[in-house]
Amino acid sequence: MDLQFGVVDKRFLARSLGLLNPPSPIVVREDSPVEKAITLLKEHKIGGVVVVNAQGKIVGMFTERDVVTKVVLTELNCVETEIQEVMTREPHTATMTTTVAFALNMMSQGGYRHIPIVDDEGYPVGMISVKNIVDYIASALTKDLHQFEVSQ
Amino acid sequence: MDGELRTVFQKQDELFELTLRSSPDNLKLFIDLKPGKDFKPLTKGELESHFPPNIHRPSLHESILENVITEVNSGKTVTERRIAKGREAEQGRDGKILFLVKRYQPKDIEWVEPRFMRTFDNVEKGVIVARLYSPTTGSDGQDIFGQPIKSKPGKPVKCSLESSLSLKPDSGGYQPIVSELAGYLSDSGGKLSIKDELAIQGNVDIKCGDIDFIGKVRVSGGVMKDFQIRARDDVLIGAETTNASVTSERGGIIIRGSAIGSSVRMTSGTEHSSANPEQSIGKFVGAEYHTAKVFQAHSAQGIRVEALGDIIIEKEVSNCSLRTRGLLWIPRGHLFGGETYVVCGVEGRILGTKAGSETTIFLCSDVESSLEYGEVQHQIHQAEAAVELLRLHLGPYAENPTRLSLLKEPLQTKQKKLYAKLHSILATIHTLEEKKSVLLKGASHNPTLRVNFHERLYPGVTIVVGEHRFTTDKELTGPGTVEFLPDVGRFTIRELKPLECNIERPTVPVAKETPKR
Repeated sequence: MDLQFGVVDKRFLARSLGLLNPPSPIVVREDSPVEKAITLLKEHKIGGVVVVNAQGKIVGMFTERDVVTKVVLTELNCVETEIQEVMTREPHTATMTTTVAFALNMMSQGGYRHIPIVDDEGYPVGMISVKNIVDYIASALTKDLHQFEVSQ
Repeated sequence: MDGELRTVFQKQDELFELTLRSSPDNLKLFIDLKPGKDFKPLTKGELESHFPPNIHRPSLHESILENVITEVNSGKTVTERRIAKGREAEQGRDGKILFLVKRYQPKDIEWVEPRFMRTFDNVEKGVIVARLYSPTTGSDGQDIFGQPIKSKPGKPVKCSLESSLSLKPDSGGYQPIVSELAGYLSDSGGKLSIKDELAIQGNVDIKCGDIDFIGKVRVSGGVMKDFQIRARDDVLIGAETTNASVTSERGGIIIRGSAIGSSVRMTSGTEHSSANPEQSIGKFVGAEYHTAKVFQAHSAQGIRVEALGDIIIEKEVSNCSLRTRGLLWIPRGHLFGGETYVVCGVEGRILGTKAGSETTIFLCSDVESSLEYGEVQHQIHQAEAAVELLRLHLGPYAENPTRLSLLKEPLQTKQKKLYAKLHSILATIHTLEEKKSVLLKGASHNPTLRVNFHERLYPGVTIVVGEHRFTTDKELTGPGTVEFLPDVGRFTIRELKPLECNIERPTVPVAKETPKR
């Protein structure tokens, strides 16, 4: 029998992202002003929002990094400029059945901290971040240790 | 910008030259404003008063207009500034089911490693496997002239859930679909269910990959070389297994064909017996079977089996390492080579070979082969692993707990809890060690220690009970029994007496139906 605590094993890495129950994404329309996206980042205390078109399909991502590299210390008018002008276009996406291992690999190779999750039609349905995965591993590990039965 | 802009208004006089243009979809309004030779500074209200009445005033962007005014008043020409924006209609979306786990789709190959194809996700009871989204109505849009842009409502999704799934109340825009039992998610034409039995048509091979399932596994064919099956419940295999590894954590294993290992060194009568099976029958690579219940096969060659229940082989057992808390039962077959650790005895048609194959049978105590003993051992190992991990979590505080109170909350509370846990687990290890000692003190053999042979028992067969060994230098003709008499501490050969087993063990058959070949 394997001695194991926590979840970081082949079974965990091979499971679907959906089993981590990723939160629904915060979305913003591509024609919204940059100001709105920044407000959403601030309000929801998140690192990235998903940018969608009028049909609700994903067209880009706008993250803290975009704020730092494309907004701050530039002459950009946050009220007048639409988010589609500064967003990261065609971001790498995952599906709910993408493996945890593959998502981690994407994050590592691409240097992303967030990966939007889309359904078969390209509608955003979730957002997975490095933090989500780390939180899941940490909580599972602590849970295992606390649930360890002490023999009398 | 898609398409050319369309002029919707134009005015030119001595004061200024004003042009309003719209995007082809009437969702954006742009202004061109050039001061004339008699230009006088404008206010925003004055500028707006020149706009035609059909422009939807609430759609105008006040701050941009102010910016335009500022620029024009400073003598600049403003070109193609967007001053109004309509709202696109948001179409209603159809209802949908979003699967959070991979459904069983044998042909859906995505993994590079061919043995591990990940054809489905294991789903425990209580896990959200999908989300059911209701259709949305959408919302009408409005163009820059205030005209509505109609939206279309979405359609509901068609699906049905079997009793192994339940639909929970709406939470955050969707209804979670939760599994009511452990297994895999099956989607049969829109009928969703959780299946706790995985049926593999054909062999476990490169087409389906290794199996790792938290239910029962039924394979109509065999298991090919180096492939693995790991199941929580029973494993039923319809044909042969070749150098395969099969584990059933809670159930039994039935193989209708032969179970064959490929890396076994054959022994001969000239070689000496060894208490170490690795030394006498070579190293097993793969070809391992672990079961919490009964192990049953047509024949077995060069495999290792650990069973808490009986081991039943219909035909031949050659060069295997078998361990069972019950008995080894080969009523029509032949046992030769390898080593067998058994509590309740062995019964076979022929034991050993004419050539004197070294065949060792250990009639061991119940404790050494018991689940409880194994569990205690396992718990000790697990507790030691937990202690190691807790020490890693606690860092220097494991050795110096007085400094825990210097930590900030909530870390302090968390670390204190972990420290308390560390102490309780250390106490547990102590308790378990004592329990193990007590168990070993109370170890007992089955009251009858018998090895039965129906036709022959050849030289080369060794029966071991503790320090006592039985060997024969001449062929014994059956039916007969070699029995160890604990009172006098010796073996005796007598007429066939049935095996008796007073050791508690799982004897219930694995499953009534066995797979067909």
